[in-house]
Amino acid sequence: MTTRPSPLLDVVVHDKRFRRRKVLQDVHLDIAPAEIVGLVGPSGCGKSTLLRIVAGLDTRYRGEVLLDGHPLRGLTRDIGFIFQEPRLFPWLTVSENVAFELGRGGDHAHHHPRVVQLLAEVGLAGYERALPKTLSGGQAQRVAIARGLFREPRVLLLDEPFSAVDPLTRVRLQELLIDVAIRHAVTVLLVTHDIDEALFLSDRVLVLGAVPGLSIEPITVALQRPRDRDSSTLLVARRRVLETLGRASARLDTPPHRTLLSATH
Amino acid sequence: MERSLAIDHALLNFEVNFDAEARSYEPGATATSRSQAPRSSEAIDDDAADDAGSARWSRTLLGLAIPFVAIALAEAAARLGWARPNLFPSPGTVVDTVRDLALHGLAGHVLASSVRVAVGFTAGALLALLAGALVGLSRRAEALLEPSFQALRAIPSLAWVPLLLLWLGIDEAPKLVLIGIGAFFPVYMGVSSGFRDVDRKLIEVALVYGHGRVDTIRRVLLPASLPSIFTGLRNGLSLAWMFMVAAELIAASRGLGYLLTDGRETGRADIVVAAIVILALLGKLGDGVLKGVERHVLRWRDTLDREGAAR
Repeated sequence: MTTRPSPLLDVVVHDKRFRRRKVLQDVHLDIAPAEIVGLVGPSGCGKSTLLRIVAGLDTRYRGEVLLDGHPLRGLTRDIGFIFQEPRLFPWLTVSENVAFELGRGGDHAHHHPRVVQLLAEVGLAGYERALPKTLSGGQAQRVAIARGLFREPRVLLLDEPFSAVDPLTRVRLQELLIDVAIRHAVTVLLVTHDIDEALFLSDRVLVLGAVPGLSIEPITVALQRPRDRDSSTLLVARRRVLETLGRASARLDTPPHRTLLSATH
Repeated sequence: MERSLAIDHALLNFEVNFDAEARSYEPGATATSRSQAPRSSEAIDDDAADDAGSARWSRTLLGLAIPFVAIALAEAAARLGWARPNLFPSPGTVVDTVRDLALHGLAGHVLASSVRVAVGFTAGALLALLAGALVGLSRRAEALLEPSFQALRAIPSLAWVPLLLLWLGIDEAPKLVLIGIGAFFPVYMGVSSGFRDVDRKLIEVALVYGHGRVDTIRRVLLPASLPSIFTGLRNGLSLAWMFMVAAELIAASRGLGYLLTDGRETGRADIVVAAIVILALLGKLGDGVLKGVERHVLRWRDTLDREGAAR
């Protein structure tokens, strides 16, 4: 992490509470351009909250989010968000959902070149006029991915995006995500509770836990894409992440501090 | 009995549509089908439309069963002399009466009542849309207005009549206002609860991908509330007919309510029954029109009642 290029996204959260309960404290996270970062942690550690802060959906915290060196407060076009559920608008067609940002529906959306191209990329060419109720869960999440990319964001945030689909669909969606992320050179921050998913997708896996101070534990594992899910490199990294998670969870109960451990591979 | 029939048919319908739907799905996204466009779905849609069409016919026939039996029984009762014909007119007599009335200004009565309902309902529903949207969108407006509206809603319709007569005379004005009051509250309830109950998750999507507050109201809150708004409109329309009769019973020289009064005063049960039947038909007709619009506008809904989905 010492010799990485200047970060595209630089996030510092000194303090975030819900009422009196402290959710995040002294968390620092930076992400290089086009990097894919997975964020894991025990449930309740505040990883989704951190993601919402980066997205601008939560602005009640002490700290700072810098995008390319400029402070962000609130929502921005440069950041796309993909939720745990597809959250498509049921009254809009697939194309109109993808092009929601345009503010115009009908043929304007159905024939929009970027919509057509994105739907082809996510494997839904020909579904332009379909209504969400006719889609399977996996298909709906593909539409959500296309919607996230439509605005051509610099950063794409994903909050446990594949946790509600069956294992086979999950594997396909993971491959699809890598595919489009690389093609669009978009920086990705992905929250997940699935360690294998984080390892398969990410350039770096960060463990959000309850350790006081900022402890960084670099594991440098260079692994080309496409990756083999059973490679020994991933298995080694998996053990490191599990160890870190174990320590993070163990301390979650005792001290009040939360912080970020990093496992780079 | 009726309930079990309804459930039975919901399930039947579900199976029919589920079957049609399963066929129109692209099966997963396998390596081969992934690059393919979905199969041309027109033929499949036709099948689905046929299935849904026959299901709709059998539903309609079932719905007609009870009225048919009731008419047959009433006719039999009259023919066999079980009831006094001047108090309990046979369906045949009622048909004759309607025919007779048609020659003597029935159209005028129907028109007078329909115009009153149309004007009163439109005005009441429009006001209710505004008030409901305000209360549904703003916590402060809700705190300010909701208790008063609830209190006004509890007033029985007939209680308004003397006051409206005192204030507005006996012309059209009090009738239209009364009908407007009748339509207002159901629509208001539908709109305000519709806006209030919109899924927070969808609003969040609109925050990320939309263009601010007004845009979110127009493109997310409004369409998401439409199911509830339509329920309110349909309830409002039926109450508008009810309030119309209340208004015409008291002071009118034309309209179906007047016909009811006239029939009672002249001891003509057949006229009363004829007016009741016409009211039922008109009410059903109005509701049918609204239901058709609703089905068209809400065809995106993923519900058990999928007749509209197959067109």
